[in-house]
Amino acid sequence: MSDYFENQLRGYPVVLAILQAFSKDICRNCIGLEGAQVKVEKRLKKLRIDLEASSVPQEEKSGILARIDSSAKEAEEIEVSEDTECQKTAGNCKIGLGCFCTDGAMGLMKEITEPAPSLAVPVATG
Amino acid sequence: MLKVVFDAPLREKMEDLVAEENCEILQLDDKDGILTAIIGKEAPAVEMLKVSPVEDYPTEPGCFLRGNDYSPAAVVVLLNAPYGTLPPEVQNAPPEIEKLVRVAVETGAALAGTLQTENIGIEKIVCNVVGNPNIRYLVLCGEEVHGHNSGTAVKALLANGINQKRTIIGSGAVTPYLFNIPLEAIERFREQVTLVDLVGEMDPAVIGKAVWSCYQEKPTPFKDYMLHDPGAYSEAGISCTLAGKVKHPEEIEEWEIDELLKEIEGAEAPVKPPTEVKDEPIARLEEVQLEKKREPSMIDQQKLVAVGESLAKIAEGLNEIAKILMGEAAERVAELPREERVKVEVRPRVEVKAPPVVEEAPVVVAPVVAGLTEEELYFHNQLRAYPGILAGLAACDKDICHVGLSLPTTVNKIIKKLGKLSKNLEGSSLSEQRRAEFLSKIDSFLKVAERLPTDPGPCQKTVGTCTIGKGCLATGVMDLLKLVTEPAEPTQ
Repeated sequence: MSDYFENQLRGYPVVLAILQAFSKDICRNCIGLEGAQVKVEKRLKKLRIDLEASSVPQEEKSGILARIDSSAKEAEEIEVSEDTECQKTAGNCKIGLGCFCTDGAMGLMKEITEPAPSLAVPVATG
Repeated sequence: MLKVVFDAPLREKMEDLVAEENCEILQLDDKDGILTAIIGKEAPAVEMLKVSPVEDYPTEPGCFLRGNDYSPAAVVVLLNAPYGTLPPEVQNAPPEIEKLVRVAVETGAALAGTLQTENIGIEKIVCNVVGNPNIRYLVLCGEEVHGHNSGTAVKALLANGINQKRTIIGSGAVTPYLFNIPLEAIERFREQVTLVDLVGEMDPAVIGKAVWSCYQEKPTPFKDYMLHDPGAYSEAGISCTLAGKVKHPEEIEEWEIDELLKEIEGAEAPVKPPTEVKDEPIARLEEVQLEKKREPSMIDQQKLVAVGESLAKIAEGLNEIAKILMGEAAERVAELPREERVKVEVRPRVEVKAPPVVEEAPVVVAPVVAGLTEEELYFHNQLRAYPGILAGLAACDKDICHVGLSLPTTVNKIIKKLGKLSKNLEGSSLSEQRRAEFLSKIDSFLKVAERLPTDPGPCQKTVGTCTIGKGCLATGVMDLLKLVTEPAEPTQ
């Protein structure tokens, strides 16, 4: 049961490390990094909700929750400018169509495909 | 109707006769100089309903031009540009896109503008279209927007509508959410307009022909369509604007939608009640007075200029006052005895609290790309990926990947790639200074990479400790390099 949460949590430190690295680049002023940061925060929040509603034993749950909180804190600490705009539009990013933050970093979470969330996350009723 | 067969030289006389009898030649066939004409009574003048748009039309600002309010055509040019570019792009839209927009309005479209996003962008279009019941066609053209698939989203909206989660059904877009506009407006939009699908079309002549065909009184063939102006939609326009509930729909996760909808339903966007459609003016299309209004962007610019001028005058005034006050203060100080003067000079006039200690922000890489040559840009872009890759690999190193197979394999590949980049740099035509800058970066990346594991261990999936599925975090990290697609590698 806890495998789902454990595996998901293996991805976030990598994603966060990448986002932190790009926050030192022009991505710091970019809507792409800002969007990725928000997404990570939301996904961690959802993971927390799902974990709380799951039947994972309380002891394990506490450990996983601590890791979620720690990742959430890291996500919050990523430095992003207050006014962001796409750096491709601004003419500063010319790497092509891709985006390091939204495609690259966030795309890494797609590497984690097992176990399926339905096995761990209780189905909402009503 | 009458069928008449006559010799070709009699054509002119036949045409005069037909005109005298208030008839018209409906069809004329020529077979070896023998003409066969089908003659019928002239059709009565077409009367069609034309109404005024809602008072605040166009209700939503955006990247569009306003043309003839009584035209049945609105033109949407897909703007295939990176995300987040909509507002500034008004000035910077590629010339070929701008040309399509201008041609559409000059040919007679009611509105013509660009579309980028599959959510807010479409919502703005819906608001502006339902505000003008005369618009009956949506001509969709331009190249599909990469990543957004806004063109398919518009088509899917018209074909399928939205589901209970306010998501466009059957759209290929990632976040095709319409959270900010009333359901009533979405339904009206779907009923009011017919799609003229020209996605992929960039020829201004074709777009112009499409617009022209839309406002013909008689059914006019255009590609696979039979177009004509059917007159205004039977109900009055709807005045609505974006509620602003969800400013960043692209950040919405699917699991959040239910909660979000509860909030939206609690405070649905205000819709001004539609006024009844007046039967008048009913007029022939060509009799309608066409009033081409000024472009909203021009109005905005004029306002900005006026505000700027006022602010400049105020600033000038304040400057003068400041000079006077400073002069007076200086005179008073000069009048004081020396000891007093010192006191005055050192005494702080206002107590200012010491600013809180702020940690110095990390240096953001300066946006230098504008001054780089194509070759320099290649190396610059390649090197931009490595800090992310190395940080990602370092994070993997703290996990079970530390003793695995993929992390060392990836690290070795990265070292090789950096080595190749370094070799390419040495063979490049870059200036010594630029080359040294890039080489120094490569060296620092190599130092970081060499601290990571390079000796392969057993694959952690095989061992049974990695259960994430077929994917691999370490090799996934290296895919960041694949995102750098421009410019192409320079030929040595």
